[in-house]
Amino acid sequence: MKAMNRHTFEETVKCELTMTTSARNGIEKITKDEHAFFAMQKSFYVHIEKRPENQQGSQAFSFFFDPEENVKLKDLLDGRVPVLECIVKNDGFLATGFHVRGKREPVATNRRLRATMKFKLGKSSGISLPIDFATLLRELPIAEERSEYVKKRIGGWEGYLRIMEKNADVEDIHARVKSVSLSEDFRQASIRIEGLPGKAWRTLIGFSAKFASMTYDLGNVINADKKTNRIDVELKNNAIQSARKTGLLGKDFESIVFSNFAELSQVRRLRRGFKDLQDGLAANANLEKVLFEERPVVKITNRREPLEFETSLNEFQQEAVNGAMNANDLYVIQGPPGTGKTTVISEICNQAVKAGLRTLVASQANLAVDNALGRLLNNQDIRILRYGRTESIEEEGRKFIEENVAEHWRTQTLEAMETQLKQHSQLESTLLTEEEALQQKSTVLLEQRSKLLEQQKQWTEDNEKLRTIEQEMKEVQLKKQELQLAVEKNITEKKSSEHKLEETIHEIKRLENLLTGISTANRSELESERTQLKERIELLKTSQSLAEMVAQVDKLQTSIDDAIARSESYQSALTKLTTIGKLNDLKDLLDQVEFVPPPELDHKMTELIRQIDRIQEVGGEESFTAWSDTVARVDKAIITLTKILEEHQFHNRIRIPKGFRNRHSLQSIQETVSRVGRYLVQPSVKKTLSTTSFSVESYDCLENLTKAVGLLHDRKNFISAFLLEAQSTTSLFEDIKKKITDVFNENLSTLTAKQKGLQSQFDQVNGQLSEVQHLSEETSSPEVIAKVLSELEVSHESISKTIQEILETENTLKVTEKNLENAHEQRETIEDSIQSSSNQASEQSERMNVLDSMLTEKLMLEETLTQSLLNDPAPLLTEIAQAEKELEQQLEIVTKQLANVPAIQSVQKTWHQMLTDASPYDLDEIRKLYVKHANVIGTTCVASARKEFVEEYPVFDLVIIDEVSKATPPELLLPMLKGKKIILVGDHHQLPPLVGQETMEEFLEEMPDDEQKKDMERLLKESLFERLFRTLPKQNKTMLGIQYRMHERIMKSITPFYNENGYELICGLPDSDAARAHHLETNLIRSDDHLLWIDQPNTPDFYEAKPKGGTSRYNESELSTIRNMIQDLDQATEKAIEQGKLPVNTKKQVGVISFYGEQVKRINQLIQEELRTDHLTFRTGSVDKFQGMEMDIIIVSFVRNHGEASGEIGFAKDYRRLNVALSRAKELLIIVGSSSMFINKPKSKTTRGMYQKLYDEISSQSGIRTLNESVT
Amino acid sequence: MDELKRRLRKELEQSFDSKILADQSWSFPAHKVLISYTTVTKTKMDVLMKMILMSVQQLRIERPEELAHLLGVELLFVEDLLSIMKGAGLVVNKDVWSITELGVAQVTTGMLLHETETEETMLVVSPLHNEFLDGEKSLSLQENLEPFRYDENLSKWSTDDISSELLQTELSALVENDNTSERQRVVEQLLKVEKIEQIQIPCFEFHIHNTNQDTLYARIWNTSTEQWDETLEQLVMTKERSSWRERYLTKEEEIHHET
Repeated sequence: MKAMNRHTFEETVKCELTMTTSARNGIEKITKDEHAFFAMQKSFYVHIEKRPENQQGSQAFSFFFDPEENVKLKDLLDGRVPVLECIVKNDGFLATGFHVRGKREPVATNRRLRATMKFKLGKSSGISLPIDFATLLRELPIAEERSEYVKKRIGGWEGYLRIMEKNADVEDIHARVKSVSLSEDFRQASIRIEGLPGKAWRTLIGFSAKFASMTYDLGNVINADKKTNRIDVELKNNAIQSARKTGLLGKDFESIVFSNFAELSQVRRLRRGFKDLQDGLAANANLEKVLFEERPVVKITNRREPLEFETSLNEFQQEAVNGAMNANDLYVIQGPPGTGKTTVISEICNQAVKAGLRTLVASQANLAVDNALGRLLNNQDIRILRYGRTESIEEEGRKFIEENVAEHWRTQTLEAMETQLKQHSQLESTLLTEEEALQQKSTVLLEQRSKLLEQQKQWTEDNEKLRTIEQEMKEVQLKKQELQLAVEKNITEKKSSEHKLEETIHEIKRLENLLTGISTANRSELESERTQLKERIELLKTSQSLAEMVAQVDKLQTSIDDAIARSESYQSALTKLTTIGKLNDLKDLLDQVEFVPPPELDHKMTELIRQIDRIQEVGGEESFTAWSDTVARVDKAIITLTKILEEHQFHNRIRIPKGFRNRHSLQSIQETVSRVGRYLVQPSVKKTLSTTSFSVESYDCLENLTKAVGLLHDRKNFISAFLLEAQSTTSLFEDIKKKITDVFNENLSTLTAKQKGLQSQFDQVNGQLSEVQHLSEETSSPEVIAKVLSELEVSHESISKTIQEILETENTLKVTEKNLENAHEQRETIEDSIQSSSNQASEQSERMNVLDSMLTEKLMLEETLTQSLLNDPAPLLTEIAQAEKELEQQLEIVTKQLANVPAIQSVQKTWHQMLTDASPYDLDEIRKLYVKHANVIGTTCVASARKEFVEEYPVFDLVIIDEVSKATPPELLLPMLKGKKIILVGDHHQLPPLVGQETMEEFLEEMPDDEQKKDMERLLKESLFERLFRTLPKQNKTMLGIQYRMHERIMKSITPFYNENGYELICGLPDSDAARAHHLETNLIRSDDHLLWIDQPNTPDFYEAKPKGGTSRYNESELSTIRNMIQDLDQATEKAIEQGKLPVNTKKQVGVISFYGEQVKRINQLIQEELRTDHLTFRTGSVDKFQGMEMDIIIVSFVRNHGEASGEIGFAKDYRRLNVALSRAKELLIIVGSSSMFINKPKSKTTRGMYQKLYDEISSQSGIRTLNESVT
Repeated sequence: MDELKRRLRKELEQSFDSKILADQSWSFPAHKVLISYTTVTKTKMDVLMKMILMSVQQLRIERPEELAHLLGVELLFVEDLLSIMKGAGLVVNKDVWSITELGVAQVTTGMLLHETETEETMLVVSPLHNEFLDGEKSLSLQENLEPFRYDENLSKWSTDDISSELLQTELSALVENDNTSERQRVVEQLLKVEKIEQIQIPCFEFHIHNTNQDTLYARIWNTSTEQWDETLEQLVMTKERSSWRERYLTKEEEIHHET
């Protein structure tokens, strides 16, 4: 089972392991403690599964201890499986749990990593896990997730199993036998029974029947008819034997038991397959993805090793074999009828054997398995084993069943011995010749070797020479390169010199031209003209400015007036200022003279306003005198009171405050003084104060007075402060006024100065004005003047410019003359350098020639040497050495054989004899050996899941499944699980799996509409095979496109089914007419006809019928056509033999097939009882049964022909069934049926089209025959 | 005899859809032959292993390939057995494979337990079947039955007509029947086959119509093998069946019409 693992990590991994209590508790259930457990073995074989991360986000793993490989554990636990749950911690693992699972627990799965572990218990020692190992761990899939994925997807396949177990009933059913009727050939027994529960009748078909007292199974129930109390059983071989002796009569046969155990166990096996896939037990871990993903991802291989084929294959077959051998995971081969699927399978087996691989050939049906095995080469290296129940294995497979393989082997070996023994007489001479030949060969080899050795010597020398030459060449090359560089440089220099020379000459020319063109015109004339112009312009400009000057004078006059006015207003303001006592008046005054105070002054004024406000707050209205009076009063009151207090020795208590506490109005202060006065004049006070004696009253009174003194002082202080404030306000005001005065005075003086300036300006301008007025005679308007002026200015400018130009030209002339001189000099220099470059170039070219000739010489030498070195004798020498060795061995064998010829002969004779006489024991030993080394094993899909088989062969390198389209996905899954690589071969255009007599689709139609039915319909719409063929990448599939069975014209009837996706079916017979000639001629058939339709009218005389009580159909008219046809064919064969067209003992194989069982039965009867044919052999059957067969001639009876509106054609509407029916014949295919029924009546347009196409094809081959027609 | 025939008739008739159309009794010839042959008894040692030992003893064998070629046997088998025998100490491999003393002992004692014995056996062979019949059955009630209608060429029969393969198989089955796992008695050589006498084996033939299937067929009871004899049935049906429908059923219909 090791092969199941995804990966194996080969080295032993040391890892740290710390334990949680929970894990320790688990371990302590089986050993003393964890130390005891891990000390049991040096290392442990484990299978590591990745689990989902735990809640803390730690990566979790389960270690499954292999129950077989861990010997000590096996002893301890008797094959049960210990599981250690771990999380990754630091550099090792932390065990979080430990438990033991049952014996059946699978340990190796394709989702686990197999490894050998040494666990180090305890604290971290800092050794980390090997990187490769850690990587493999990280890459493991999370097994639970994969399992869930598979579970979800495979759930869709449940429907198949449901259909299979539809009537499953585990209970056996018993019945009494009333009578038994055996068929003619004893293959079928019809049994009348009683005592069967009514319900059971419906479920009985498919059950196995067995007489209660017999040990063997009778066979399977194929029919159960409740009305007649009768069942039909298809007898197995040993039941047939028994029936021939006993007739199945007597007391042993009175009670019968029906059981569906076989079917149920089959369903169980299939379900087990689901589970295995889910548990990761597929040999190929990619299988689940291949099966379930819409676009299966398979590993890509580009490497294609060419194969040597054992059989001759066409290009498609070669591609299929190559593809199958080189593909990874899966390869799909679509094989239409007759395209050599079995040949391909056989060749793949050969190739697999050569590659040392073990192959499983599986199919849904035994027949296909046996066919494939039967075609394999008779080659001792291929050891074929046919696995299955002997009785169900067909003739072709018989010799490969386990009990026969030894016999098969013996036959093969005996044949080999006989061949050798036959040759014994010639053996000696043969050996002698062989020996001689070998010796000759040996001499040749020796000669070759000495030659080669010489060659090698030469070679080595040459090699040395080559090296030297190469070195020399390199040097020359280098020199050449240098020279090349120099040459290039020289050329560049020369070129640039030449370029420069050209430029210089050009320049000289240009300068000479220039010199002739320059003339110095009359400069002084121009200059005097310019002066005149200038004067005139000045004059004009003056007169133009006259008006401006007048305006300026006016403006100055106004400014002077304004300045005078302002001076005056300032002066008056200054006089007023001295008398102003109030701020508001001051402000008004300032406004009058539009004076904006400077910031400092403005600030002061604001301060003044604030102070005034404060004063007014307490009584700014009162005059200063009122305040002085009050002070006097307060002082007086203070003195009075102080005096009183002194008298009473109380003045010490007086507290004279500094400053004051609140501001008070004048009035309130006066009131306070008055209140003190009033207090003093109160009689009680007076009285109290009159004496100096001390009393409470007096104390109170004195206390009051003390307070009053404090109060008065407070007021006094306030007043002083207030008066100080008022005084400062006054001085501030005065200060402001003074400042303003200063500013005004300043302004005034400025104004005066300005006025004076203006006056002088005025005088000057006025003077100019008068002067101008005097000068200017022009009286023209300013516009005219302006115009003239501008004209004059323009001409003045142009003259100035001309003068400038002349000046410049003169300069240029000078420069040019100088340049010309230079240029001439330069030309000489350049011409010199060019000359020297040329000299150098010729010298260089000479040198180059020398180098080149040297190089050519060396190159030639090199070429010669390389050529001779190409044939390195070294590998040849090795080869020869190898060949010599082989030869020596061969010679040895031959010499030995020669010496031993008599001994060999005797040994081989003994061997032959012993083998002939081999006892059953001998054969049994050989059987064991054979089975052990079997490399191609054949079985049915379902049998591949049998327990014994799985134990013997758990895994195959290659699993080839044939007739894939005939198996359901669950059936296919079973062999697929076992294959590292899987090859599917089939044809999805032929019939799909059958349930009884019907296809799944037909079966489904009868099912009630429910969810499951819809599921199944979806799945059936495209089979697994079809889907894989559609979606796999090109390198994982192919279609076999050449068929060899049918005459090309017969093939034409099915080509429409295969024209898809760029594939097409072609005929591989090089000459169909020759290879598939039937040589028959009748009334209806010409010898070049291969495809015929004997058309039946769609009229009541030709209609189908149903047998009494039956559901199947037959058609009497078609039967009669077939009867005539067979007789004609027999006669025609006879005639052809007489004419020598066919060999004397020819018997044409004729298959007569139909869509309907009842018709087949009647055809059978016709052939067996009515017709005697000498030159034909027959096989009859339903179309479905004929899948996979081929015959010379096929007659297909369509049966359906009626007038009902439904147009129902039943089984015949499935194109796959029609395809099978049409593709069985090699030489001649004859359709018997009503074309107007099949082309016109069916409801489905597709069906009508399908038959129309067929009709048209046959018609184009002139193959339509109406009844009573004759071609002759 | 009649009783047997009645019983068979009854058995056939109990079948619910079978109708016996005709019956007849006849006998076909068989021959009692005396066969002489020799047998040997050997011990249990598998033949290939023994052969390899012998080869190693007699020839100079260096590589397994030589043995494989010599014996026409797969290399894998040879290698497998060599390694087993090497493990058991029967052979050693030093440049050359050679047999040990133990091996020699095995080969010599393993060959034969008893010298050749000559034995004789009486068998009954039927030329019609080309088979040996289980001839033990005593046929005391031999009546003078008419001979089988298709035994024309059988008088010329001689013992040479028995195929040697058939004889070999039959004798092997006979001789090896009571072999144990320790001792193997096998036929060594066939000495001679002697014709003793010709006997007649009675048969009862019935023609049957299966009314359900509407098929016609024959049932022939072989009193020697005590079963319905497929070979004879096939022979008769191939020759005659195509005429039966007309012979039996048309007549019947006519009878129906007449009544």
